[in-house]
Order: sequence, then structure tokens, then C-alpha cells
Amino acid sequence: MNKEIVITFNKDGTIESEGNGFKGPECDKFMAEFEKALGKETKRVKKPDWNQRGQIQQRAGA
Amino acid sequence: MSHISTIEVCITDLDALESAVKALGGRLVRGKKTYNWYGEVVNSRRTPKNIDKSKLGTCEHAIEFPGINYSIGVVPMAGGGFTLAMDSWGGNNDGGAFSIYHGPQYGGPHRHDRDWIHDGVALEQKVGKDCGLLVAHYGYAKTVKLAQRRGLPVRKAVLPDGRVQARIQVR
Repeated sequence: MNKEIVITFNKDGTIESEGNGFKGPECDKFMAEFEKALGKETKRVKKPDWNQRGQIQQRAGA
Repeated sequence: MSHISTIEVCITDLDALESAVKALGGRLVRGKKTYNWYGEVVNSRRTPKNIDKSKLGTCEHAIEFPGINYSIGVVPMAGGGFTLAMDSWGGNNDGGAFSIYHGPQYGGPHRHDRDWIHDGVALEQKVGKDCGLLVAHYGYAKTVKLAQRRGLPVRKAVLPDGRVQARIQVR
């Protein structure tokens, strides 16, 4: 799956950004640059696959 | 997917702001130190947050739209960046004074000046409530500029409800 950052600009001036196709927290570094340039993050919700990579590593080492 | 962020926009880039203003049909007048509004605070009328009431009407730059008398002030903030100040009073339904526009060069806006057009509603229709639509366009312009600087392709999408999306491909 291609990696993609989707930024939605609401009519009330708020913005929502979402990373697609990333595994684990790697999207943070890509999104952080855009989020920082746009303003101040007021809310963050981690998606279920945010921890995906960490779970795989844990299984491998178990 | 990884995470979803909600961001409160801070305006820091005048070039991106200028692009946003143009997209809505207006112009950014750099260095213009005043913007047009009602001229005084009356009773419970809303005033912008973080702006000293005594400084209403003054700004660092102004945003104007053809055919609209009221304008928007681009006001520097103490912590950096800018906020947008506008007065949404005056329109077809609230008894605003409609007459010939004489402008500030004839003494500036005043509530008792019958020749002063109070058309804040028309301005709000252009830029959205509390300048929200203008801020959204600013965000899009800023995003495109940043993506282009990094060499990342951006695809624009318009959602059924009219919201705009920037879809940035990451290699």
C-alpha cells in the first residue's frame, strides 16, 4: 500500500491529518513536519496499526 | 494508518496567506496598517480573542475583497504568527447603513456616518465564520508549498460537503 498523508481542511479552520499505509509510528516523523508547519496539535488518536511493528518484534523475541 | 491529529492553525506564512486570499477572490495588502470595521465596540458585540480592544482597527497587513467595504486585519501575536480580525456586523438583515462608499480618506468609519457601508455579513460570506474558510485555504496553501519543497506530489480532493483535502504521496 502506498504511503500517504491525508490532510482535511474543515470550513471552521480546523485541520485533521491522517497517515495511510504506514506501519507503526514511522508516520509520525512524516506527519510531524506538516503538523508543525500548520499549527498546534490539539488532539491525537492512534489508529490500531500504530503498534503493529512493536507487536511483531515482541513475538519474534518471545 | 497510524494516527489522526486535529490541528489548530497558526498563521505564520504571509505568502501562503496571500495564496489563500487570492483563491477566495481577495487581495492581501501588505503593510496596510488599518482595516475597516464598525469603528467602535458596542455593548455585547463579539470582539476577537487575544486582541486589545483599544487596538481594534489596526493591523500589520490588511485583506480586502472587491465590492466589500469591511476588511480583515492581519494582526501580529505576541508569541509569533498572526491572527485575523474582522467585524461581521452589517448586512441586509440588521439595518446596516447602505449608501455610497466614501472610505477612510473621508474621515474613516464611524457609526453615525450614513455614507459608510456596514457590510460585515458580505465579508463573512467570503471568508467563513471567524475567517474559518480563509484559514482552511491558508492551511491548504501552506501544505502544498511544504510538499512541493520536499518534492512530494500532492493531489487535491474536494469532499461532498465541500471540504478540501490534500493527499500527499510519501515515497
